[in-house]
Amino acid sequence: MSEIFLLNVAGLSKGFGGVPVLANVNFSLRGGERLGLIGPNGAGKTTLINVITGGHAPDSGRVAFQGRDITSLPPHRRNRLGLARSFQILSLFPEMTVFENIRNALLRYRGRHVQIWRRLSRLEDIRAEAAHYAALVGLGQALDQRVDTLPYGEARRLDIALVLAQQPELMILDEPAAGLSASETRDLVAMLQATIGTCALILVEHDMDVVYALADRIMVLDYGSVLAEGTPAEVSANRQVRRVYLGAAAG
Amino acid sequence: MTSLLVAGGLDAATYWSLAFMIAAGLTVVFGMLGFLNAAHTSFYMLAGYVAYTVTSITGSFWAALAIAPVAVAIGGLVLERLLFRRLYAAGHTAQLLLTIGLAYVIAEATKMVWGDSAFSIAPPPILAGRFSLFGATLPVYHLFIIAAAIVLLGVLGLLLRGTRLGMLIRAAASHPEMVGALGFNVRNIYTLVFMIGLYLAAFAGVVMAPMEGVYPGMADDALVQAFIVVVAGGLGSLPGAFIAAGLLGVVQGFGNIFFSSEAVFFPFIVLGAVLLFRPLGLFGVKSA
Amino acid sequence: MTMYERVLQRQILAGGHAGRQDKYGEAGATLLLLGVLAAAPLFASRATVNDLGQAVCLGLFAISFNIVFKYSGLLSFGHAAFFGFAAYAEALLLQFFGNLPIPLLVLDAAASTAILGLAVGQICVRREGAYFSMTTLAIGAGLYSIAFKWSAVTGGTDGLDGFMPDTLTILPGWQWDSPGIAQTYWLVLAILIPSALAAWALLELTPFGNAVRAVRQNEKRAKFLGYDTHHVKLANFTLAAALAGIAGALWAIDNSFVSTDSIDLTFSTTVIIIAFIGGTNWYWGPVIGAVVYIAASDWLSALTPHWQIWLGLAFILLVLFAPGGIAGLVRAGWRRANV
Repeated sequence: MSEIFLLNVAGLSKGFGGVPVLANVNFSLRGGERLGLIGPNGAGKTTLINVITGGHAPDSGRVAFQGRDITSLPPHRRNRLGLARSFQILSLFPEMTVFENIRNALLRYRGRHVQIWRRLSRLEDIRAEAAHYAALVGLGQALDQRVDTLPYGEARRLDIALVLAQQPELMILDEPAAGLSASETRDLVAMLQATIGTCALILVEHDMDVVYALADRIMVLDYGSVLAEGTPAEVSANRQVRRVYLGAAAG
Repeated sequence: MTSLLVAGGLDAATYWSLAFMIAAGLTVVFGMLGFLNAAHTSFYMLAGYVAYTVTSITGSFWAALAIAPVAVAIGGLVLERLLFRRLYAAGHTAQLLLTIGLAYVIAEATKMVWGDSAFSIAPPPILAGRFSLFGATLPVYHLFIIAAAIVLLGVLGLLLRGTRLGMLIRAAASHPEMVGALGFNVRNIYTLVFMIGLYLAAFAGVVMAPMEGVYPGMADDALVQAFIVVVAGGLGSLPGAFIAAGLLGVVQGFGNIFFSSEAVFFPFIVLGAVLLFRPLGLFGVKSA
Repeated sequence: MTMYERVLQRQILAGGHAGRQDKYGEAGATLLLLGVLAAAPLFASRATVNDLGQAVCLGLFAISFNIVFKYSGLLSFGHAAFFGFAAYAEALLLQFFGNLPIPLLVLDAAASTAILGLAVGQICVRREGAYFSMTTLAIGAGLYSIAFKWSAVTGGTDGLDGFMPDTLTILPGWQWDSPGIAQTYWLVLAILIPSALAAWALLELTPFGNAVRAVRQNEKRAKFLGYDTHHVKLANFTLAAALAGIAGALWAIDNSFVSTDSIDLTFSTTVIIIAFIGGTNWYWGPVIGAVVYIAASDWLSALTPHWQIWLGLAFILLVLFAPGGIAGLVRAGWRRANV
């Protein structure tokens, strides 16, 4: 019965300047599982992501990854353990090309990101791998385009490519469909379904279609506490959740 | 031994006063406007030199004390209108670059007008003597510096806490948009705060002159001190600057008495020690 | 953002991808610059070569400052500490040993200044922009105080001189008796140019350089991609310190004189002015600034003893209106000519 969860969050609380944002959050995730994290604006979803990935330190509680306590590890150490995230507000390397952005992720994943005895331009294997990931997200033709000239939808896909390129154990996507049109969102969902594979996923999203398409389980956050947790069917039937979040119209 | 302690104590209080007067303006302007002014101590230096000229002409230290800080503050006002205003939104890189360049230019201009040499100003006769306390003979002038600092800061404190203008300033410091929305000209309030900061530094420059003279490198030396105080106290924090200036004062005041040649390094040790335990300074906060 | 702020952003902090025309232009300009510098003793007067010797040392120093600024986005206000430290260290070694192979001195300068840079950087690099600058200023001032106070060793404001032997040792067994100005100049260049090129290669051609540039562009993302951004910035800072150390050592060798003028805050400010006048966007821009500085100190000083004011004013105007410096203006002209 003692099973090591991939991710274990216990008693997590966090406040900013006296305002509580997370209140005693507990949940676990197994390898390969896909969890949708939903809740109204200000419910604490992004803060929870930040605490899990190392952007904020919690006021109390523990985060464990693959059985190992990572609560006080800095973000870069967590990433190296196999935890990769995307960002709600685009955060890419603006003056670099699509290829160079993916290369940044790849080099670090391959442990070659601070080498001084190889020439960047001669890393053929990295170039091939980067092209592969670009193609996966549909950016195969845009390899040499500078990111600050990319259309928003393509930049969002590049964001995902950076996560995929590091072949993480756990992917955390923070509103990957934010700002995308309906058709772009459909394409995104299809792309994610095709590429996530056995990776575990935490997906923060407002678009319920995306959540239902990708998540095995859903967790609802409200005012920093877990309001409900379960399969999509269970959660959408939950009266409290419907009142708070899915809208009285669903009733 | 008591006499040494007393002497050290008086020196400590004196240095505390001066360090705080110099650094206060720098840290407040940063806290309110986000403006880092590396030319801040250039005004300190200019005031000292102007005071020298005024005392040479009029023979009166009091005239210098009345005129020089005001004159320099007005000069600062002109610079604020012409140059600094444009920099408030330009980011710290641009601000540091431009103000350090300005400091360079002011330093050279000072040498151009007054030459390369150092000057001293005689303290006014009333304050020129010494007095005894617990076996130590101490300069009366140091008491004056401390008293003047207390009076100035007391007046400022009263202004901030007891007048409508002071209330406006405090409000503008934390909620500029609200104050602006209420119809007040926040820009002018900021300018006023800037001027007060400059005035304090300039005042310190005049008051420092009879003690350590005026010399071409004094802006640089004071800048180092001011930066140490501001970083140790926490960028933008006035209470932090107050305490950090106190630490520096104590360390310099007693250091000079007991370790006269190594005392030069003590401020750096203080900075290092503070940063070791509080990397952002005593009251520093991570900016957004 | 106002127009000014946009210009400042784009010109100072944009490094990025040059178009093909730009790359050829840059390569050509670099060859031209290095070629002229190398060939100078063939056509210039001895006085000019003497000046150029100083200028290239200052230029390397300014390049090292720019390595911290352009590649890590940090303004180092105490950079003279590294230059001065190395200058003193090598001068003192020569005083003590009488004669040492020049390459050994330079190697020692690079290594020991790198260690100093590592220590200083460890304290400073953790902090963001303004804190970084202020802390580097404080540390620089601290080192100045040491140099000033320890006058028994450093000669204080009077400085050290006469430490250069009449016979320069290049390698054990290979010596130059009373080398002429051209010889010394070429010796300096022979060490300086490869050093600068090596640093350039590290920063532009290797994964390490890529990491440094990535961290500057988006430190947050780099962290979450697993980059230890503190150590990346620290490594860059250490590289810059080592380069500044080489510049300081070469200065001591070329100049035969070291004083606190090489380690004070004014000198730290001067190198900032030099770097920006020359242009921080082009790797070799700061060398242009150094040449301008030395030229100004020769020609302008004939007109007025206060030529530095004009330099400072030029610096202020440039930062306000043409933040890319002289190199930036030339590049803008080149782009317009190629459209």
